[in-house]
Amino acid sequence: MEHDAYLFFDVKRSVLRYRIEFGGDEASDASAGETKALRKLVLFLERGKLPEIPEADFAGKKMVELLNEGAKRKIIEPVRKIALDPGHGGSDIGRMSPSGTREKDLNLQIALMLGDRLREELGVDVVMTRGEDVLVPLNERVEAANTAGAELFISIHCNGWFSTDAEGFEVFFLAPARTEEEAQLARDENASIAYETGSSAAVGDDDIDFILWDMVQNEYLNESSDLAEMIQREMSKVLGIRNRGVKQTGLRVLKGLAMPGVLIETAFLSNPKEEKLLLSSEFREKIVEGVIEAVRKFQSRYNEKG
Amino acid sequence: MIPTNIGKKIAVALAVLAVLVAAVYLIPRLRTKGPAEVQKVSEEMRAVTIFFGNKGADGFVTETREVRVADGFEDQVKLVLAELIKGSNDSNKFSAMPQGTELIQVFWVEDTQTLLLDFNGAFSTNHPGGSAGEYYTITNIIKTISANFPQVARVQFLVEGGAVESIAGHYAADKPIDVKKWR
Repeated sequence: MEHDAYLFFDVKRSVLRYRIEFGGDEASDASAGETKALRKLVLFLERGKLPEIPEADFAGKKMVELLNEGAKRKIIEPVRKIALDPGHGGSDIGRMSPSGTREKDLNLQIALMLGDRLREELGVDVVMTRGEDVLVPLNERVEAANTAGAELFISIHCNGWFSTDAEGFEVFFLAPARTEEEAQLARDENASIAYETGSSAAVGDDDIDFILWDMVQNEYLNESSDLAEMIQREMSKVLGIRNRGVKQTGLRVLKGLAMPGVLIETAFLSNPKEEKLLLSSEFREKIVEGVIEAVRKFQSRYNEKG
Repeated sequence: MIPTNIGKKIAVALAVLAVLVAAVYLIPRLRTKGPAEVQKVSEEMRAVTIFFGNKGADGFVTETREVRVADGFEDQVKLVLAELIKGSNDSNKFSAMPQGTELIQVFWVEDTQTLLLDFNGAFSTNHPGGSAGEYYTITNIIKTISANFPQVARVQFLVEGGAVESIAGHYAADKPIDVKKWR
């Protein structure tokens, strides 16, 4: 059969679950001789091992059932590659202390040191979202980690507040903006309004993309929460500053990550005592030590499961 | 001819009488129409709740303020947020509004219950940074809006008339924020 255009996906890893969505005017119903607009084709893939299905059962089962079986046996990939994200960079300085210490520089120093030690001590590959003083948009950081196929994402920051009183470190993971049902509701709403008004989209396509990408990280929230808690526990043992705990908010750099992801606020640059600590290599080494120990624990928990 | 001094006395007496008559008629009118109306307008005040971050950036503290009742919804929002931008005299209350922040315009889209807040450039460029700082900048506004204007479902931040990726590099600002889900 002749085609005007085709897309070819070469998927190198085994896929546990997939979902295909069509956008446009009922494109899936387009048959020979008909012309219908397909404006968007979204293919969602989730890494993992395929469930073993006896040949005899295959013919009688719907694909949906097979995929659901696979979902129940979800397995996290062993951690072999870690994406490190030094916050800010380039024209985005991040926090600047009254004495002129720039957050972007400290974030990079800590992340580079962490990357070296992760390679040496845990033998993992490390991908940096930025390895020098450049501005990388938040969505590109997420894309870089996803494209590299990293199994963990760790963003490094220094905190800041409007007075010198705030102190301590905290670890964040993503608060899901939408649940699966809400996203489905948004899609249904979009389709019904578009049907009633004859317009192409009531909720913009961008909004739908946004909702769907929000949900990618939802799949990894348990693992992200585990990683955040492990980092918090290990950093608390070595840092000697206030432990502000694990928090869940809508940080942009964690949205759309197809892997467990956390953001660490190491200490407050707006607090002169903590600025002094951040400027000492001894304290920065302690941060690195805490994170490495946490990743080691995460690896042993999830690699065993795999 | 009437002697000059008698004529003067009569003229003075007539002038005094004229003043008295004017006073009898005009003063009550002035009392009921003039000052009383001004007083009535200034009494139309509304108590509002303003949210601040505490000095340790680990909790919220509120303050009740009196603001004038405005003619329109957008103007009312402006008056309430002006109180947040103004800040507090209490050293434990931080508005987390960057220096020089001004709310230029407010737009209300009733169909989608979306409130658009258009700030000047200082709102983003003067932000001192830190995710705690940015979190309270956004959340103080969201909580203040939510407490005083329950009809608002979403808030969209704009800077100088356009959407920005983020105010200070941690939280997305390019899409409307769902007031109920924000945490």
